[in-house]
Parts: sequence; C-alpha cells; structure tokens
Amino acid sequence: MPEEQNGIDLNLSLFKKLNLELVMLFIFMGVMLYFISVFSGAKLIHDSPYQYVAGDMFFLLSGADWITDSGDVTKYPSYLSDGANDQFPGLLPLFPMATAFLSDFTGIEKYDILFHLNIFFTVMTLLAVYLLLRKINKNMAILALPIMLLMFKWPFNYNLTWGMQMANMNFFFVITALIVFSLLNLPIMFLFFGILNAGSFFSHMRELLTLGLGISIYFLFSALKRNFDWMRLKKTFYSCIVSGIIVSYYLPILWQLVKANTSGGFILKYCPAMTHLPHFVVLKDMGVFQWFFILGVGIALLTIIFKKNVKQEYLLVSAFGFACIFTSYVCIIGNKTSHIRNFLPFFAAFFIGILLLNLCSILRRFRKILICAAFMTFIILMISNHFPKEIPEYAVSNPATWDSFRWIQANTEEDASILALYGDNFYQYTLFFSMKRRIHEVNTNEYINRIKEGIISPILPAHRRFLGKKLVREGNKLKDITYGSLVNVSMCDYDYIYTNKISRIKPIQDYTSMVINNLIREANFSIVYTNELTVVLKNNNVNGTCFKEKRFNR
Amino acid sequence: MKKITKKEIINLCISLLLFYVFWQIHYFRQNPWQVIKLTIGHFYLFILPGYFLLLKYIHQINFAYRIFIGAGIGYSLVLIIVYLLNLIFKLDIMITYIIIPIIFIVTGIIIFYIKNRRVNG
Repeated sequence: MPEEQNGIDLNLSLFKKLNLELVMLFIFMGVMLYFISVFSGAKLIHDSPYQYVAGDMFFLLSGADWITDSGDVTKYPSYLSDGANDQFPGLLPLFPMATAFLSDFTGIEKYDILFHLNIFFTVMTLLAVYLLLRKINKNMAILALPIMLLMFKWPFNYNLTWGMQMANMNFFFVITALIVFSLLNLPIMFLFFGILNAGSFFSHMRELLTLGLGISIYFLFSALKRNFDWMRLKKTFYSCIVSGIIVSYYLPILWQLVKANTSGGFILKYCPAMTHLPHFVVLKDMGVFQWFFILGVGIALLTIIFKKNVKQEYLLVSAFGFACIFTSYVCIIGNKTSHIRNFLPFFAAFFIGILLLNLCSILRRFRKILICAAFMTFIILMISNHFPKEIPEYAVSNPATWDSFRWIQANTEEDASILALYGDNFYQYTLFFSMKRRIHEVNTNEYINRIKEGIISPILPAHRRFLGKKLVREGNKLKDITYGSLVNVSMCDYDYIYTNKISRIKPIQDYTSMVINNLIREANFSIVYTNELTVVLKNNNVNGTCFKEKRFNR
Repeated sequence: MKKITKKEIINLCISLLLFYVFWQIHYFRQNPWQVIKLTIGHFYLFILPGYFLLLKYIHQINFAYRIFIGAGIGYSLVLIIVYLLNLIFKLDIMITYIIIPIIFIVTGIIIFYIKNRRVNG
C-alpha cells in the first residue's frame, strides 16, 4: 500500500495546504462530539453508575469488581455463587478485564470506566470503519461517516446504555480484523489476524461468527470473479490455527456453557422479528436512510455480478455487509444474535457509501462539489432529524443506593446473607451484585400480592440472586449444572434486611414501613444504616423467633 | 533511519494529543488530570503495545492504520495473555496487567531495530 495514497498523513505538512478530506473529517469529529454530548453529562467521574439503563451494565460491572478484588478470572467469588466456592464463570472475560485494568491504573471508579469504554469502543469502531472504507475510496469513506452517527441514537444506542459493552468491544475487533485481513499478504500478518480473532472469541464471540461468514462469502465472491487469492486463503488458514491454539484451553468449557445456556439445544435457526422489544432494530429506524441502504445493497450486488475488475477490499466489505444482513435474521445460540442489527449504522454505511459514490461518479465534472454537498446535507439531516434524546441519569442506580452499598461493603461480614425486600429500582436485580454480598431478593409480585390481600408475614418467596449456575470446574471440564429457583424464605433467617423506605407507590411505601416496624418490635432487628432512600436492618438473633403472620386494614 | 524515527515520534505525539483533546472536550466539566490519566492508561496498557508490535511494518502500512490496528491488537493481545497466564499458571492478573504491556513495547522496538539493521546492512 503506497504510504501517502491510502492513509491519513498525520504529518504537520498536512496543515500547510487545505486538505478537503481533513476539513470534512474535523467537521465530522465536531458533530460527533456534539452527538455524544448526551452521554456522561460532560463528566468522567460520577457519584454512582450514571446512565446505566439496564441490568447487563451491572452484570459486567460485577465482573470487573470481582476481577479487581480477587486477581483471578477463573472462578466466581462466593457472593456471586449463592455462597458456593469454586464456581466457573460463564462470563467472557475481556471486557470486564479491560474495565478492571483501566480503573486500577487510573484510580477512576469501575462504573465510570465501564461506561467510558462503551463510548470509546463505539467511537473507535466508527473511525476504523472509515479507515476500512478508505482503502476502497476516500470519498466513499467520507460520505459514509455521517450515517454512522445513528449509532448514538435510539434504538441503536441500546448498545451503549443497556449493556452491550462486550459486543461493542468485539465489533471494534472485527472491523480491525477486516483491515488486517486486507493486509494479510504482508509477512506474519496472519499472526495478528489470529490474535484479533481470538480476542473476538473471548470478548463476545457472536460477531466473530459474522466475521467468519463474511470472509467465507468474500472467498466465494473471489472465486466467482475468477480472482481467487490462494495465498490469502492459506494465511487465513494459518490464522485459524493461531486462534485455535489460543482458545483451545477454553473450548471444552465453552461447549458445556453453550449446552447449559441453550434449553432447546439449537445452534442456528431463523429468528423472527422481535418488534415487541423496544430496542429491536428495524430498517425504518434509519428514517430516510433506509432507502439509501436498500439501493446501496442493490448496487453492490450488481457491481459484484457485472463489473469485471472489482477491488479486493470492495468484495471484502460487501461480503461482510451481506454477512451482517444475514445474521440479522438468524439466531445462533439463543435469540440475541440478532443484536447485530444494532450495528446497522456501521454496515449500512458501507452500502450507502457505495451508492453515493456511484451517484457522484455520474457527474464526474462536479464530483468534488457534489461530495462536499452530500456530506454537508447528511450532516445537517443528522443533526435536525437524528440527534439522540437525553438519557435518564439514574434509571436504576442512584447515589443513595450506591452509598448504602458502600456502607454494606465496609461494615458487614464478607459472608453475611442479605434479603432485599422492595425498591422501585430493584427490577434490575444485577444491581445487587455490586453489593458484593450473598443476596436473595423477595419476589416483587408476591410482595405486592400480600399488600392486596392485607397480610403481613415474615415468610415470602425469594429469588436467589447470583451469577453462578453451579458450574464447578474440574481441569478444563465443568460438572454439576443446576439452576437457582424461587424458594420460600423467612426474613429472620438472614443477617441483614435491605430495602428502600421510599416508593413512588404510597401503599407499598406504607407496607414496607409496617414490615420494618414489625421486624424491629417483634423480631430483634435494629436499623444500622439509613439514608434518604434506603434502610439496612441487622438481625441480632439469626434463625430466632420471628413476628407472626397477621392481617392489617388496607 | 533517524528521520523516520523522528517522524514517527511526532505522529505518535499528535495522536496522543488528539486523543486527549477529544476526550477532554467530551468530558469538559472534568478536571484535566483525570482525562490525562485516562489517556495515559489507554495508551500504555493497550494502544502502544499493539502499535509497537506493528512498527516493523513502518514502510508498508501508513501510521493512521498502524495506530488503529495496533489499538485492536493491543486490547486483544494484552487481555488474552493476562487471561491465559491466569487460567493456566494462576498468576494474579492485577499484577501481570502492568508488566505485560511493557514486554510487548520492548519486543516491538527490538524487532523494529533488528529488521532495520538487516535492511540497512
């Protein structure tokens, strides 16, 4: 690859003359900063997990917590395994590790680093896609940039606030792997391709399946164009050996995890549109750009079929785009494989770039002006129609909850058992993993039923909230796969009761106050911590007599 | 050789500066020291190890590509090696993660110099 033709020259000499591409790139970076301003509240450090909208964010946070605390990725701590020891984690390690390391290195809280990494990997992927497309044509790359801003808008930003961090990291690996694949004929580059694929395997895996499919389609296209590169196939094979060696120790474990996590035992099947899910992406979420996307796909297909000399990178990018489209409609090991749809702005950018480039080529004489005009029009369209809405600051966690967690970590025994009663934000139970204690949570529906029935009782059905699935490791195999279930528990069997004393629903708030009063008056509990939202009650007589079931007037 | 090294150092400094400026603008209400620490963390732990391992391709791959591919390789390789050392040899990952990047950085520089010495005869 000639040095100055295919890459951005970061040399200072660039600034000596007006480089139109660089100007558009700077405009884009400014607009991107404006788009991502809806995240993080312009601050890196917050009082508690900020803009964590769903439970998976906390799930990964607990991974980073446990890695930092134990220095060991190979087994869950007992608080994540319902008190059991030596349980093998079913969590792919790379993203929680990156969070733990960066947090430990910088001294910044893990929950802030985790959210930062989310945006970081999305921005990096966006720029990597730009560089990948630039290998085909720099005008196409520039024209594709504004489309990718959709990543920061709902429902695509589901990836950022609902806990798709591992997928975000992996998509960056996948795009980087595509660039490396295009350079595979360089000496020992297959080694790096293999390393990236192994990283992809350990970070989320599903996007790796898409990459594998994309590369297979690429070889198919090359064969059809009678431009088959045997050397590249050979090096791809070498890279598979490299990846295979790296992941070999984990493969038997993975197989059992797959078996444990797929009740139906399916590997690949058609996945119907799950439009009942708010975050499920459909084409119309792209607004007017859906038509550009469809036309782009058509033009790419026609080019591949009818054009004689097609660039290898063009074939590669199109093949990967088609693989993304295909995997949007199939389920591989569970339903969520279709989440590749949430990366639609990235792979749609390939095809929209192709379309626009072809359109601009028709009027060659005015191409430069047309490209600038199209770029600016798209930027304006994006700002006016697709600017992301504000994200709730503390949808699940809040500083009061977090203060109570910190108090529990500092002031209770490591093996203490805690029962969580009720909180408006308890619906995302992974929140409790950050408490770092063995936790059971009262079933919310049953709790509300008791209020409706006018009964106050210390016995309630509770969920055992933990990550481990009794996966105990023996060498590189797992044994004893069982699952947690709903069990009837007595409040007086726990060391601590944790609850919110405030609720948006008045009858629930009154009922919780009543339970607290009964525990204090009739069951030897005392309040050891309280703040404006939460209460922690200590049981001074564990397994002792509890208050009797009674009726109350609603 | 000296000219190439100088150009490379300038490019690296510009990347570091751009990275810092971008995130400082994003976190504009944040104390700069925190963003500086974050920038150093990203570069030392992940970006530089990958970048230096790709230094041998200095004549074949443009700087911007090397820094981005290097970032991908750095995040992937450092984390995988730390993970495997923990999985196989039970090494404490909160210690190894500090050591592994410097090993790759030094390895990359050594490979670069050996390759260049061969080229220059």
